[in-house]
Amino acid sequence: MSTQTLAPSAPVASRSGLLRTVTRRRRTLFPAAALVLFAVFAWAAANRAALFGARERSDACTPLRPACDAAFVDLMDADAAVQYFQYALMLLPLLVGAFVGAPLIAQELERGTHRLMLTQSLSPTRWLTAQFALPAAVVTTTAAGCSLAAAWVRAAARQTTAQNAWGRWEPSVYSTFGIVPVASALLALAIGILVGTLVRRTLPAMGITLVVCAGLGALVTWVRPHLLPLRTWVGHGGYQLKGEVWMLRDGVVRKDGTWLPYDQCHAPGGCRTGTVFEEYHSADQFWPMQGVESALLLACAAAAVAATYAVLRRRAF
Amino acid sequence: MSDRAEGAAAVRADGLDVRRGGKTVLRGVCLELPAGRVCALVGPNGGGKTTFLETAAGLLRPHKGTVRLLGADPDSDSGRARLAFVGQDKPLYPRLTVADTLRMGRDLNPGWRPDLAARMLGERIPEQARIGSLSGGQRTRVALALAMGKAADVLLLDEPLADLDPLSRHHVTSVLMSDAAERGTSIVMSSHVLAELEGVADELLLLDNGGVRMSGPVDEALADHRLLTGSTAETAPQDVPALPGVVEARTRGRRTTLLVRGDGTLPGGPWQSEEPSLETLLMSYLRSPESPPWIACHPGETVPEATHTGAAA
Repeated sequence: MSTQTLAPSAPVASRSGLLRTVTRRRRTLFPAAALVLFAVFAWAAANRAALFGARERSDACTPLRPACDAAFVDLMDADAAVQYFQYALMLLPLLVGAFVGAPLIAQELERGTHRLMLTQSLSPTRWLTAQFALPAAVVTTTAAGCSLAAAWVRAAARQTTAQNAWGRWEPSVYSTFGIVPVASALLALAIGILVGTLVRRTLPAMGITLVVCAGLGALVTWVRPHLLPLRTWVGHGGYQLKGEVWMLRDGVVRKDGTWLPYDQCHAPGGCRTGTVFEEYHSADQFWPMQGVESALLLACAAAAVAATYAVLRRRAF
Repeated sequence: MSDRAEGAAAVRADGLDVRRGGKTVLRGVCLELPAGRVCALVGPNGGGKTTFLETAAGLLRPHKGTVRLLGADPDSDSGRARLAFVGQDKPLYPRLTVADTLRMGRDLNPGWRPDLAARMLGERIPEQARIGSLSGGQRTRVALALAMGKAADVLLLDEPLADLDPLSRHHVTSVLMSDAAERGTSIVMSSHVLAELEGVADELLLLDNGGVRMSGPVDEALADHRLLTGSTAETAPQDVPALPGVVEARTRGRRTTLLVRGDGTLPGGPWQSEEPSLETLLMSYLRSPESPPWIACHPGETVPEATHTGAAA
């Protein structure tokens, strides 16, 4: 290039200046994140209060009295409310993708403001990095907060109800618990940004992002059991596995040594054998699996980010 | 011509092809706009003005050829530091206030000059008003103030005067002119209203159909052409357009008007000769796309590094 003889170090925007600019530009993100966190924790607190209150009333009541029936109904309701809470948290990545990610670049391209930014003293790469970094930080914080709220509510549900819907492997628990929800939110953000960059119009980008993120969520749920090797147990009796396990398949071992799942026991007496098999993920696989899944989601997010850079570098503005 | 050889041109294009949406908008553009001058970029809609400015601003990557601002690639840190650009639609963030917008300029440009920005902004735009609440003309002023505050060496302005009232237009042009005079800023401003730039520009660039039709100093362009008027009966107008040097021949009733180049041979017959107005000159070139372009100084002839490989891409 012939430019190297000129201006040995060209003046470029300082990092703090860039940070101030992006913060000013995205200042609605902060109250929005605060509002989401406040709402989630308020809802979590309400869930806990309902669970403990209903449990207390049902413990105190005399069986076979109407008051006791009412207390049990309350407990069931509180239990259902926790499920709704978890389902709502599972939607959070979709909302992040559609409302934070998709408009991020699409709106700039739609309004032409990228032409303004890209003629200031900073390279397209630095501009894009700053555009990514601030929302990513806010989304990480918010998603981590929601994960803590989910754990807090789940703890109360486990103390107060006998339902086995609160096992860590339950999809609605698994997806809202630990580090996976943080990784999913970041992936949704990256997908939204990429879709917005490709589509260049905000509303269609939001719609497409919703569909893509929902599809990816379903795909991840489908892939999840295969992320780590299955454990198997073969023996007599069955259902003796210790700890919180994720049972995926069980059935009988037939005389010829083949495995027949219980749901295929059509022939009369087909499953009458003393030996059973169980395929499952053990309790100690929970955190490794969360780690593997998060790494996979973050790798996809990194790929989406790289693709966004490539598209912006290649495409004519 | 010797002043052009010194230092790099404000904008220099070598064999520039730019595509947009699969269509070639600029085709083989070679030009050189001297530094420290105000250049009027004119031409019909779709002629390539915006594409040329966006390419010069580093926003569009040439498909072929190169563009350099004061010798620097506009899509590099040193290029970006030297240029300021205001797009045709004057994009700004509608939810930011005027003060926020100028703060953004300060934060993103190390050489920020608040005095230059304030001079362009003028006094009648409230600092705390949101951009979205301003009128089109006020928004233009803010966008121009943002560009001025950058204290760039080359200002690339796409239709900067289009939505300004006469008073603002006067303010903006006088601020631009004094900046050019005080800091030696090179200004390239486009317009499809020719009259807007008369008296403002000292350099002319006419783009039509993706190519250069005219390029050079305004006064040279005017001095290099004559407008001839004669009686149709005495001058055999049917032969005239074929003569060399004739840019355009128009016959209206008994009178024929010719625009000819100063170096062209005058066709026979009694003609009244006068210097054309800038508008007449430009219109004649736009109406006769087959006539050869007028280029005062062909790029590559005067600049020593003309042999560099940029155009080979």
